[in-house]
Amino acid sequence: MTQTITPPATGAEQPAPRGRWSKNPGQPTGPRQWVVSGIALIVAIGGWAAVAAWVNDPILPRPAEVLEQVIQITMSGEAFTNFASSISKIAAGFLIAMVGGLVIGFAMGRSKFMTSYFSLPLFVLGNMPGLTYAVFGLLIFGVGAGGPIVVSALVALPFIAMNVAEGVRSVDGNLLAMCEAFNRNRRDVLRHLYLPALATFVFAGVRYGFAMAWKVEALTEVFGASDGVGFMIRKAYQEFQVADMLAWTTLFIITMILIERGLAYLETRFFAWRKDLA
Amino acid sequence: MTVTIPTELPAWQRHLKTQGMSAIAVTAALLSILAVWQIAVLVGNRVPSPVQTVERLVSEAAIGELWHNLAISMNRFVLGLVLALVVGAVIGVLMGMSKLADLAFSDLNAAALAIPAVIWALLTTMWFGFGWLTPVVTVFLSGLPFVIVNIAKATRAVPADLVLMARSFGVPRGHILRHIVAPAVAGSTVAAVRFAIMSAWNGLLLAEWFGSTSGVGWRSRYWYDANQLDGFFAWVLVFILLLVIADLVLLGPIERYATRWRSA
Amino acid sequence: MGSIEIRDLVKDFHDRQGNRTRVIDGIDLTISGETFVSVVGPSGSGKTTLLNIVSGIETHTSGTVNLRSADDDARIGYVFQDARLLPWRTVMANLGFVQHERAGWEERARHYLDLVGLSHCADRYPAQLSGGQQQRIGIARAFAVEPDVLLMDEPFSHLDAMTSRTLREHLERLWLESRRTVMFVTHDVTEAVQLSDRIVVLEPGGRIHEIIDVDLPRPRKASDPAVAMLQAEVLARFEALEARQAVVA
Repeated sequence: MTQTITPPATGAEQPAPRGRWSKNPGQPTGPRQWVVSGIALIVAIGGWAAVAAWVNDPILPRPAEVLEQVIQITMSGEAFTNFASSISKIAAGFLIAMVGGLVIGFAMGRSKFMTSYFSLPLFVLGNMPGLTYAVFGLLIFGVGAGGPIVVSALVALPFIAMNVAEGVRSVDGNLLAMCEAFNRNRRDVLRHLYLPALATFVFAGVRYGFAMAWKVEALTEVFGASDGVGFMIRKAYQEFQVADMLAWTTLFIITMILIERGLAYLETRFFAWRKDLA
Repeated sequence: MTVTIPTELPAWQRHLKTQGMSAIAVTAALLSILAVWQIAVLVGNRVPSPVQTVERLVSEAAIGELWHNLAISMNRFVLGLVLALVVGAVIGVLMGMSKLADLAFSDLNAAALAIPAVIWALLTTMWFGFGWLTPVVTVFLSGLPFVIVNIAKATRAVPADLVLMARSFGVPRGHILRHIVAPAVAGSTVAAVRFAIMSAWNGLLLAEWFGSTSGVGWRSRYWYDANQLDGFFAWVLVFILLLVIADLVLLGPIERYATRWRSA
Repeated sequence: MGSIEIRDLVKDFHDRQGNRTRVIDGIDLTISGETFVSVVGPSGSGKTTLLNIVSGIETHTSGTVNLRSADDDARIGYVFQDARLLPWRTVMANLGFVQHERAGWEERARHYLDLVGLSHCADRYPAQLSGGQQQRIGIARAFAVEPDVLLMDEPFSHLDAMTSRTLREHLERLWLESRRTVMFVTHDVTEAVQLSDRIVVLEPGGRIHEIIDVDLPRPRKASDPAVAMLQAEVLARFEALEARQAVVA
């Protein structure tokens, strides 16, 4: 009953694989995992270095040059200010998405008509190519912070709304009856029933919305911004500084993975009672 | 190990489709979208009206630009996508069957999933210039990681115990492939194709926007650069229509067919 | 009717360090004609391995296993611990699948579905059935291929006591009706007594400890005193075997 609506739907609707070719590759154990994955990374970077040496042109910089740029960008504080700017735009967008998502999600959770009504707009919002978001952001809001903020809000909105709706639906009728049987008042019902149920669903929505919003936000900054990661990537592109661009990309990947793992950690930590989240 | 980038058909979208979008509600939704658009026309002074947009679209079709650019883009799109599906299927099956390959590729693939398509579009533009390679390689690279993740998942979903069961009854190999392996991997395979399409389409538009002189992405940029927003909006309409068609008309029914036994 | 001939069967497992573990150590056994033979043994006596070798799922190290039938090639039916139905096919289609849609399969499928009392479920999907019903389908499926040799691997071990008692009755009825050559693996001695004509007791290490003939009239009832007495006797011998093993260990 309490299945979070999230994109990687590994939950109930997947048939549990009853046997496997290889034994549980999902959870490798011990230090071997790091060794293998580290070797693979080194091989990949080695391949890049070999191709770069063969091409021998600033159009494909060597890994060492990119690393140099990464260090320089990080030390100069540029990385920090630009990532802080991008992240705060996303955070602002998520606040808007949260408010909108709660309203729409509640409506959808309580009414079948509303579910049908919002399905098409949310589908379009959730699937529109990033390019259109970026250009609309630039057209309507210019190069300020408004574009990226609204774009991240729009991208995250469907995820949060659908999760809230599912959260509202998941509130167990039996538990509600139990509360009534024990004569709990409305505030208690809200606090002990709806809030915990919604919190997990909203969090899942935020987590997956984030993964989507990050890229579109950066894209919007590529098209029009005065700071942020996307803006720096655009700048490097215009100056034909490939090493710079790859350095920003590297930092982008690292930051994105770190934030996502942080969110995943928080989720397992605070919502441990939901065993299906894992 | 796994980055939480959505790599499977969002459950809420499946939900939407199965929940029977009643015609009235959908009509109301369409009208609301048009109303919001119309309001945007009145408030924002540069936004073209729906009528203008459709008119521009008709004229694009009339002068042949619509079909011409669509054909060019589809050509590039299909080429890159097929490449991504083939290469991704090979790596994905390897990851699903061998733990070593899984360990070796999964972190690299997680990183690849985190790279925005625009990076590939810009890089390929710098590397290959304005040729056909730029969009094709971008389509390939932005679709690939999604194919890998989902095919690996599909491979792990092959039910070994059912295969053993069939073998002990002496069921021929072809039957096992068709009736056990294929249905088991269908769901994740459809998801692989679907996500590859969505991500690769986004990559194609960006690659054509930055590094091409033909195709749908280029054409929408042409109108944007000319400051003729009705032209740009007309193309956005095309993008959205293609998306809805691809998902609701093509992938949706295929997916429902492939997974019909689950809801039974 | 078919037969299973096992001669000097040996099976070794090798772990990663190259250590050899012998799980079956020279088994000689012939099962032929209209007999229901149970293989019982404490865990580690290699009974499931033996069954898998007979079915061809596993290979063996040395010795021979021959499955014979009146015509050339023996047909095998297999009932697993779990039902192992294809979730994406209806019950009927599941029965058809293992018969490769051989001529007359529908008739046979309906017949055996009827015998396990589930003909009304023919068009349902496995997920719509209870665990006990799924296992009954699994049994009907094995009988429906009209096998020369029918192999069963603890088919009732995952079910609750009530359900498995009912299913044992179903199984005996099916067997009386079709008289297949059955090799039935179980860890439950009382179940073996109730169902079989002969009981092969394996001991840890994969050797035959003894063979007990069960000469009781059919159909048997669990409540029949004769059945209960034999069950108690065999159980006592089995416990003695286990106790001896415990001392050795």
